[in-house]
Amino acid sequence: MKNIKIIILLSLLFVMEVFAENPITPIKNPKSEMEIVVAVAANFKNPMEEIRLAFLKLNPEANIKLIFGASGQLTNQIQNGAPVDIFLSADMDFPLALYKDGYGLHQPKVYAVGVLVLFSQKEIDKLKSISELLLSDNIKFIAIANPKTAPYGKAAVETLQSLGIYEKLKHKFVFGESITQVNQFISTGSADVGFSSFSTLYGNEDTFRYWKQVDSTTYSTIHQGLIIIHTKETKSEEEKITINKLFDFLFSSETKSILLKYGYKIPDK
Amino acid sequence: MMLSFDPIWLTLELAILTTFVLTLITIPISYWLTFSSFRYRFIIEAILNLPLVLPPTVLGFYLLLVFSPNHWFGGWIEKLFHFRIAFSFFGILIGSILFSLPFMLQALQVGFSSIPKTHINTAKVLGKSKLEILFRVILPNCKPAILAGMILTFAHTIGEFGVVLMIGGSIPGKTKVTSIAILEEVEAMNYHSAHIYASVLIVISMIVLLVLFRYKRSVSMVFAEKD
Repeated sequence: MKNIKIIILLSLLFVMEVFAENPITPIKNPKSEMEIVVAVAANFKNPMEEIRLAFLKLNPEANIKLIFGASGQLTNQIQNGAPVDIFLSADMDFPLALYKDGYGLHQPKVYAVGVLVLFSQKEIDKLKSISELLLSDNIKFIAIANPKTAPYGKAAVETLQSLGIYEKLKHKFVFGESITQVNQFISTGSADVGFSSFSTLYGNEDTFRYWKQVDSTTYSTIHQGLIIIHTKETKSEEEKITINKLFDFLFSSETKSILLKYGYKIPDK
Repeated sequence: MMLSFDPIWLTLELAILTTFVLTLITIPISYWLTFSSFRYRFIIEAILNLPLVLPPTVLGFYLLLVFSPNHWFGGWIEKLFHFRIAFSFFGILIGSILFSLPFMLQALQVGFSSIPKTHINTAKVLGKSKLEILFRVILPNCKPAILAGMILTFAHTIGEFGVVLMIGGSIPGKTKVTSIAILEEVEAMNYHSAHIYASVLIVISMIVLLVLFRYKRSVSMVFAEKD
């Protein structure tokens, strides 16, 4: 009986919280001294880990923590007080939204340009066009990241629309919550093909043996934007300096070579 | 912004079917587990209760692997029926049946084992068969336990998330249940729609709990023994 009372009490608390006018007050995270938290879109996981190591070589005293997730999910967490210092999104919309709401220290900046690729476990004929491939009968399921929250999903939908085959393929779509889930659908072979980021290929050549780059004129450029978050907690001078150093490092020539290695394009200017 | 009621219907459909199928298959399983003298019964019990402790995403991921045409099972099904279990309603139904099984099982086993041995022995002496004992003695005496199991299963399936996320593929009208719709709306920052979906779930869960408490005197015994 006790259990049931507790369950009801907790669900009431939950309801009150959900319908409360004001968002939940930011959680005060007791940070250890000097800790920079960087929130990173799932597609940028591997390069960011390498960038972090390269940065630590130059600044061994820095303490940098990375958290990964879908861009929309991370944005949501930041709005609810997650102690994040820098946010690397998979697009520009989420950082812009954060900036408009006053969470950013400055306008978001493009740090990488993503490349869309079609992956499969089945052998795909590279000579065939994407329309031919996708319309064929032996392709039953096409995995796409949720176009509402994942930029690569949005780009895939744009491509299919500009090729004029979106409506015809509608019944074949399966949606992953993020690019990570799309990769999972393809790598388990449950989906026959899927649209993902070119960067997925690096280090996973065995899993994603068959791929075809999508013509970049068929989708609008995937600008991945970053923003420095204006956190509520007061920052020490030391932390501010490290954040700025890391920001500069993300646009350094070292980062650029890592970006190229993982199949990203370097943003102009 | 258009709010679709498909996810809600789908959730209800999934919950009702899961409850129905589980009631049917769990009765013989619990019957056997409660009254069998098989020595290694505990192993079976442990396996069937595994979803209780396993993260749903783990279960979902392995099901996704098994359902894929690359796996012998998924490949065999695809060859035979030209049908892929992953990304289908049938797939998420299998997932939630496996995932909710322990809840039904626990409730039924508590009910079955609370029946006085003398009742069963009397029936045996009178020459009743095992099936007759099940339908004439055990089940009529276990109504509250069965009801509790059904309600728990139903409520549990309504809130089910991880398994469906892994094997569903969020196909509108087919595998996109309410919990997935809520996640997507929250991630897209459409909090208003998320609130609407969430409140529908809360209302349904509340009704289910109200039914449970309406019969609480007879059902509470099942919960009391679970503690």
